[in-house]
Amino acid sequence: MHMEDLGELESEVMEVVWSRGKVFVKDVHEELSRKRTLATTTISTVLDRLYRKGFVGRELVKEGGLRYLYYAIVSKEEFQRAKLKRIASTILDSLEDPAIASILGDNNIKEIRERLRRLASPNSNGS
Amino acid sequence: MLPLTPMEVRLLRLGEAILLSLALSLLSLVFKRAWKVGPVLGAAPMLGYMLGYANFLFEVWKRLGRIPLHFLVEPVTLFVLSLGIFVMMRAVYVWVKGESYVEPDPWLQKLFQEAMEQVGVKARLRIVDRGDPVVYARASVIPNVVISVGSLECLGSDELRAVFLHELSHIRLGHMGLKLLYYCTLVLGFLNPLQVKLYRRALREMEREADQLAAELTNGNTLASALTKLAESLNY
Repeated sequence: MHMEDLGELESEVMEVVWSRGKVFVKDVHEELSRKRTLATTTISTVLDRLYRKGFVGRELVKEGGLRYLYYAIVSKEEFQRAKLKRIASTILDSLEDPAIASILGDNNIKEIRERLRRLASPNSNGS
Repeated sequence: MLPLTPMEVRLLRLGEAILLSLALSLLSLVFKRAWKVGPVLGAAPMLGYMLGYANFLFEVWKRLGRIPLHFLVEPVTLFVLSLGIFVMMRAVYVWVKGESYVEPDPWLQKLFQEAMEQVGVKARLRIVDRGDPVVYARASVIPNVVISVGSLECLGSDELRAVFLHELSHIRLGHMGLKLLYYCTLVLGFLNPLQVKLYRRALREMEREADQLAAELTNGNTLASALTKLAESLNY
């Protein structure tokens, strides 16, 4: 599955979701408001966007007023692995540039390419 | 000098209609109090042109018993027709795809009922299954006030009441019909760059009118707080 990258605030919200497991909008707002001023509506917009991107799931809770309980669908490890793969593919692409190849030398390029390929392959676990 | 062909005459009429439309739009923009009629005035010459064109086609049909195809290939008619078809297809898509709705809480329904009594209109409350804060009034046989679960999470009960009053004020002031009318003027006046300005100003003024009416019925600070909260997420 292609995993999109996250924006700054999206990452911060995901960190809270990953650390707490299941959260309401108010929980995330409470946590992030310690560091910066944010409206609850901003948090709900971000969580909704993360839901549409497939990073979080949600269930509707009816007790105590209608609201969503959000939980992570993508684990932190999965996300970091995908990010690492993306970076590896970007570097791999840039190695095609003859200028970079001339600086690094043929043997080094071969080794780097091999390592990055392993990292970027779909079966790689990132180690 | 050779006499003008019928199509050249039509193009000349189109030029006149655009110029008149621009002049009327400019006049409406100068007189700020005319915001309600502004978009209609701006689009009227274009409507006149289109009716004239329809009449021209009718005359051709009467005389020849058919309408030559090249008479139909006229930019304005083609644009308005294709846009009309696009809007219809979009409406069908939205209707078929639909959004899922959630049953409102009894306390929320009660809050809405009280707001309706205060404003003096009848409407239906619909809770849309969305996490982002969205509130709007929608035209229907019985007008709807649509609010998302995301809004319910972020607004307190006083703020919710204020938001309901604001949306119900739109219904009371007849803004639903006006919005539809202004949308049509936007399509008709697509060759007039000032038409968008008139349309936006009308929307802004309608919001101001609804704010004013809602503020008379509730605490203005609560309304301001609710609207600020809802607007805040737009910055992100």
